[in-house]
Amino acid sequence: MKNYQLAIMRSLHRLLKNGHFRPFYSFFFLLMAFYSPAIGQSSKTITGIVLDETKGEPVAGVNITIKDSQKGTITDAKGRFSISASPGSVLVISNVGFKTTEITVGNRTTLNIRLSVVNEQLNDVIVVGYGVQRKATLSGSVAVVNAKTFENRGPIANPVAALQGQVPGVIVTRTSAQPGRENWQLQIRGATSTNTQEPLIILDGVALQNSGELNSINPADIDNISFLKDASAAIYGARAAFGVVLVSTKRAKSDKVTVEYRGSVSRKLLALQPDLLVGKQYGLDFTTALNNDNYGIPNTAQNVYILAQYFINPPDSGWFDVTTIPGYNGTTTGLFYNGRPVPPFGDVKDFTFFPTNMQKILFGNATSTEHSLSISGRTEKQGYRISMSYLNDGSQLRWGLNGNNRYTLRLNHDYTLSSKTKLETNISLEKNDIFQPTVMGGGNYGVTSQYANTGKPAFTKDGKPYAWGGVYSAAAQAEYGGANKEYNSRVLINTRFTYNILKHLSFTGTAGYNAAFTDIKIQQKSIQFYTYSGLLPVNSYPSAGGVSGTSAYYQRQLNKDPYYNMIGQFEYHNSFKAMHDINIMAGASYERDEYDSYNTKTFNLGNENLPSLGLGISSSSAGFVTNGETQNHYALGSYFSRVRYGYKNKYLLEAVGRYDGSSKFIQENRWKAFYGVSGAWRISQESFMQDVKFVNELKLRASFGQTGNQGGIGLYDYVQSLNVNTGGAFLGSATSISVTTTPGLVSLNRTWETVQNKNLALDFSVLHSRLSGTFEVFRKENINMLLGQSFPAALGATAPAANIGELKTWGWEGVLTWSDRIGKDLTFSVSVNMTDNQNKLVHYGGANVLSAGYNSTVEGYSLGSYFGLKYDGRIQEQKTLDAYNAKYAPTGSTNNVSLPIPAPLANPPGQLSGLRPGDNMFKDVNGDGKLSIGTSTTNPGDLIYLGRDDPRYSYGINLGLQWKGIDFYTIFQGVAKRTIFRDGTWRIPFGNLSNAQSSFYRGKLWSPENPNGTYPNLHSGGGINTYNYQISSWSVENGAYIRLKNLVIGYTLPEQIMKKIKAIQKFRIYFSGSDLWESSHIHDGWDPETTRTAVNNERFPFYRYVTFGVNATF
Amino acid sequence: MKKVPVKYILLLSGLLILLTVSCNKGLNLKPLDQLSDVSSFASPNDFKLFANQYYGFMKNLTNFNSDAHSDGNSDLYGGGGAVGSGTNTVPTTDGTWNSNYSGNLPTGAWSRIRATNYLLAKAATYSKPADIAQYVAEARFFRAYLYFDLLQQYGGAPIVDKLLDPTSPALFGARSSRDSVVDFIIADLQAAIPGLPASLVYGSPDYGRITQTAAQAFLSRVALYEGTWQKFRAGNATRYNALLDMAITASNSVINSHQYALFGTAASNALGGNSTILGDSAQKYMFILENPKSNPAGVTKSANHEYIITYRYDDVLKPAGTNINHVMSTGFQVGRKFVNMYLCKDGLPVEKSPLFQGYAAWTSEYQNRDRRAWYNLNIPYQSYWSGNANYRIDWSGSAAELLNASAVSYNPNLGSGYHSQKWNSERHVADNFEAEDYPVLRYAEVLLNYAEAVFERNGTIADADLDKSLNLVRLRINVTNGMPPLSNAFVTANSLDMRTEIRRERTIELYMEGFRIDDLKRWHNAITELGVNVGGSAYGNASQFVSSWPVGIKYTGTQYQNGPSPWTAVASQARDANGCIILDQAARQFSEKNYLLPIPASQLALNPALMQNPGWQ
Repeated sequence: MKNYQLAIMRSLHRLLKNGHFRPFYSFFFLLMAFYSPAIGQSSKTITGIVLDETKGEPVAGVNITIKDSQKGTITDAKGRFSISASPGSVLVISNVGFKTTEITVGNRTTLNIRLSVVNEQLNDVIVVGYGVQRKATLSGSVAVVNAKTFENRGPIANPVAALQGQVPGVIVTRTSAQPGRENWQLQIRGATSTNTQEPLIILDGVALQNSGELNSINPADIDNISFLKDASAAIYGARAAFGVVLVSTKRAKSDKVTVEYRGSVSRKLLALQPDLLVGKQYGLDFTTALNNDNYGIPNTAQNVYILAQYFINPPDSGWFDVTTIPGYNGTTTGLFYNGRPVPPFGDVKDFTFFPTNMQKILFGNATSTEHSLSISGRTEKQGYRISMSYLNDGSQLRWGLNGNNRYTLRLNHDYTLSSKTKLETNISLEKNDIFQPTVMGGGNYGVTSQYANTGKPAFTKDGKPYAWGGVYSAAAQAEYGGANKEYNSRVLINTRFTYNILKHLSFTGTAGYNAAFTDIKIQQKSIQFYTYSGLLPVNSYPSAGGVSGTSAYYQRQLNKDPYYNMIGQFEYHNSFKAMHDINIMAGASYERDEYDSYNTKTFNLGNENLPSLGLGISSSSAGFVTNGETQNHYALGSYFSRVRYGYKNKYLLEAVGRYDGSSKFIQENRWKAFYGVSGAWRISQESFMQDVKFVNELKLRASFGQTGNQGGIGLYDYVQSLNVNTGGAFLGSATSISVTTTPGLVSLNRTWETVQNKNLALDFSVLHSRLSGTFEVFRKENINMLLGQSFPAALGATAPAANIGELKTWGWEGVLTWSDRIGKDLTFSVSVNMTDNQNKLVHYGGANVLSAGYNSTVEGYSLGSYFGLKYDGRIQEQKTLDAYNAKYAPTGSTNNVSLPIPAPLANPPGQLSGLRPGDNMFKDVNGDGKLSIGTSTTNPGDLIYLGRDDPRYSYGINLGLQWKGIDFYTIFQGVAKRTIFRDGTWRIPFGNLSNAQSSFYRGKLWSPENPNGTYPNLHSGGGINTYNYQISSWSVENGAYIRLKNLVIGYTLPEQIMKKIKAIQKFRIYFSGSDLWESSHIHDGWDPETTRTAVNNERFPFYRYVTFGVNATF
Repeated sequence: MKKVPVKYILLLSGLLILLTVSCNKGLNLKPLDQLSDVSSFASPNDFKLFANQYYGFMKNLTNFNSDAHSDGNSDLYGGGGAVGSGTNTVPTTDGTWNSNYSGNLPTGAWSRIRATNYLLAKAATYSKPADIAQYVAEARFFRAYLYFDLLQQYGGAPIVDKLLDPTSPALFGARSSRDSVVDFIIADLQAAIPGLPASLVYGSPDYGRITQTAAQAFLSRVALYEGTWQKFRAGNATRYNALLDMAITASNSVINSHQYALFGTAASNALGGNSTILGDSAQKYMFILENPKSNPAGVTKSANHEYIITYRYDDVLKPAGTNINHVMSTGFQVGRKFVNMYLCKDGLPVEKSPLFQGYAAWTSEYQNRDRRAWYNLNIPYQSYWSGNANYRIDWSGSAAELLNASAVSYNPNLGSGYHSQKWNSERHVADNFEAEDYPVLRYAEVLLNYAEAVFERNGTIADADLDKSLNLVRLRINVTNGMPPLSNAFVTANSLDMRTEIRRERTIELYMEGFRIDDLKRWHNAITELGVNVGGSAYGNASQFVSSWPVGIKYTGTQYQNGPSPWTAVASQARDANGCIILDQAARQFSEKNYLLPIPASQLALNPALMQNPGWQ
């Protein structure tokens, strides 16, 4: 299987790699050359009136065009029109909210046209679990996005990315911008548990492990995605607590053979990043901070002070070599360079003062390309769609091997075996290669770390890796530290057999196989670093010998994760007397996952240029080769059913149920039932509504149910297992093997989390369906949330998670869409959606531990709440300071708010240490006369709630315009409320002297002359900085933002031209931009979407994306 | 619906039944890569493998310098950690009082205690107790080891001697008293001793495991600690005298076992190997004893008969995994107080000895001193080598070797001006690959425990007792120096104080091994030693040795100011009345409450019955 798959991938790759856009450009020009205006026939004038079929009223503003020409007219206020046309021409009558009709003129001169009202959306077939439904008769809360969402966006690494701001109730956030590892987070209707939050994702009936698996899907293959947001998800029972996302891929639609090509090229432009301090300004501000620390007296003895002076006045060359200074004897201590003391730093050999900004050295703009080709067609017996795609996702990181390549091949095929039987097969081969430098976060100074302070070059004078003592150039680490290559491949096969046993009864059997293979090759190379002259070797990192994490090595790893499922279901559907519509479905399924991973690693390669496991220098020493293996499995058995009853398409009732059993629980506690009930009343179908002319559709929906979550449960938690560990204490003459217990205690009585789900919604469509919308309120209650229980440490183990928590989530969401037409040619649509949810951790096992900063779980509060001190203004004068100190920092007292206790100073004599004017004050909120950080909700000290990290009021504004062949589409997306407190030392100016400094404070510092400055006095290191910048109502940031998520301008060549060029049916070119503009209150320089932690690859800078693309259908 | 023939209903139900049966079977899945508890603990080897983890609990190169016991918290250093400065506050959690794991290995005190109780619980039902006696004894020894650490840090602690589960009431009980915890530790040690092997020789397969003598040695530490703690807090005399007696007996039994000897002495050679070949530098190389290339004479670890309880490393199989050279060779602000504590070679302290050369030149104060000053500290103008790049080539002192030194003609113009070289290996070794053993408990401590216990028990100590214990340590490398032994006559003749001298010896010998702050705590003089008179003198108010600040070298009027090679960079740094550079601007705030660490707040929130230690509420 693997060889076959690879062969296809390779040839596909070759084909597309060499192809690029060139043929399409020439094709485009050729096509333009064929263009010539249509030649007229003998015409006559036709008049007529357009009426609403149901209500018999004239319809104004109806568009009447002659097919294949640009001629057309609009009906007037009384529905009348007049147009000149030849007998052979076809009139196309269309209007928003009505079914488009075509009439051949013939020899008629007057026409009475009756248009049937239709809301196309209402007839849409929507995929729900184990079946489909019409939108009109839907009673659950299901949102749908169609294929259009994924078009025109330029390369999309993961389809989830395109959903941001698109679906009410679906919150999409991103955590990184690293190609292939963007890690999009998908959440439906807010947090529902502290154990995982991600909805269950089903691709053509087969469950995926997580949304990351969508990385390898070709977004152009997606036909639609349904989001089951309420109790209707209960058909997926134990995994439905966070909603269900059903992804369906495209199948052949028309009986004509259609070949479609899409190609685009995009440029990633670096967007928001903190601005780092460089050069003289760095020296000046650093000196200020140090002088402030030392009570205004320059501490000229301090090595960093001496260093800072060099930044203010660097040598002309920008650097100097210490080893050439006479008297150098291994340390820089006591040396002078041109009469100035050399900063005493143990083992460094040179000093460099270049105005370098590692962020700018590391990251730049990049290019991505995507090609996708599909062929589909249908004959009497069978339909097929074959698609291929190639994505090359460029990386902003300029050094080392980087990027993300995706190759996909998919065949969706159906075959009608007989009048009663049908077989559908989907086969998808996907390959996703993600490359990155192995040494990414090396020490504090790696690519995704805080970077070393300015001044240091990335490379030496002669281009070798530069290091300053133990500070290794991040760019050189990425460039020379070896590559981490991850080859993901996936085979997804899904076969569905349908047998119509009787007219109304059918059986469907589905077998799915989703096997993911990840082959990882990591080589970590040793890098020899040099001083700036390039003459003196400094250190090697990673080290050449040895067996530690920072040694050179070569590693291979193979993960296999096959997932099988089998589903059998019966469906009975019948209508009686055109009033009663009954649909009953029942089935069973078995799903199983078997994870298997092994890795082997060899240190001491014979030759670093030939990484191969066989070439590790064999060594008698243990540890030079290490092996690892992990195996586990789980299974889920289920019965499920759906019963639907509709009365005159007016009253709709539906019940779904599922009975799930999981291998993760002990046999006695294994099975549990879940259910959902929903009903809808189509008010607009009532006779009394027939006179309410402006209402086209009005539907009230309600649902409730119970869904489950098995997240947070280990695979074998009910068995006490022991681990075998090697490399333990050195006993006798070898390292020992030890057996240890697992940290967690066994649990026999726990069960699934149960989420009670309630939903109330109103769907409406008015004014000839021009204005439509949905408004929903929901309430979710996780009544037995699985929580890690906190017990006193004396327990000595981790208590098993128990079903002891309760989390309430409530919120609303709405979408309002206005679609209309202005004049003959301009159609537009504006859609606004917004989602809000709140949650409260009602019970958290009684544990009420609280700390300053981010708290993931605090009883009585939202998940992810921030707590901190209350800012009480800035100390402006000594009098205030003395009073503040006397109250909160008397001699001999202690506090845990990092408030320094004033103590007599040796130098200058008579002065006290501690705060100065220009530092922050905090409020004694609880009035106990002290400033303190409490430890629990019952004893919060002076902590106050500062907001939550999860966004509130997520919204999207979509605007679409079409005018003749031109289309314009834009999405604004944003968050109206969020609190954020970013970790990391860039938050505090000079908080860590060895790291790069962010310059956000510049020009906004407090000083006696600028008493309203935003930021307090500069200080260095911890101490007062820790106090001033600790979490408080002053230091948290407002995370609200709005951004232009996407903008598309496209042009489709007119149909007449296409007619001439028979080879092409449709040709469209477009320009698209993503994240082009934003507005936010963030002042630390990071992108407003950056996570609060901003660690590791979350530090990859976000980018703006501009795309040029073509779509062609043949 | 009614039209559906029976056969289809049967087919449907049949299918469902089939699925039910196969489903339930398909849901019984057992772990694939772990052992089951049920099938383990069937043979003595199972117990041994389980007990092996305990040896990872011991203090080692990774943590000895960063835990609450480390010298960085003591008066020997400038600056000092928060614990020693008394500026620590109640933490939410801390590294000790918890039940954490690192991977599968327990790291917190309570998870480790559980690991000992786990074995004891399994042993209770084992059919042949005699076969597993050694491992049961190890479990009890290590339970005592863990509880002693808790005792030193927090005082009383809940006594957990069985496996608890979330329903155990004991979880929410009060802490047992300090006395009960001490009795529990002693009971465990005494119960462990019979089950342990009497001795284990280097090279035997079990070498490195705890022996009877090792348990006795540890008992001497515990008993002396608590005996003096009680004595200096006006405790019950009967109790503390009993504890001191126990310390005397235990340490004496180690001495009388003749299994151990000080490295670099003839007694050690008699036990095997040749360590006297290293001469005066024997003690220095003991701490960095690795493979034969780690010292000038090719001595190996087999010649070390001083380490009684050892966290062992191996240059190939188990390297340190921490950059001990780098950590130990930089960044420490050794204080003047400690340097002043070294005796002059006439056995007299600096404030009394005519041999003391003052501070005028960089090297003056190092003249005529206890040889250990030369091997613990970096002496100006000497050459030093260190690990990765600046290693010794052949110990010849050749030009090539000097060229490779990290410091040729050492210049002390950095930090406090006093620098440490202990633990700093000289051989060619990559960072993190050092492999010197860490002495959790060494013979020298047992000897010093003996001397101190005898003195504190009786208020006096006979010369014979000093000679069999303290003087061996004192004179190990000071014989050639001509230093006189400590004797009652010498004390009297020079108006010294026996207790001060015993304590001085302990401080000098066990420097950088994590004893000082705990010693000050049990002597109940930490407030004085840390808070006031830092950098002071033992005898008289010799003002030139006294300072109210932690200080480094004397700058004013010495070579540091006047040159050659003046230290101009510190010219602006604050200095005390003697002209010594002040290392820490803010005064220390160690107070009575600081003798015990606070219980972490989160643990108090979980179990308020623990009660916070006095002064921390």
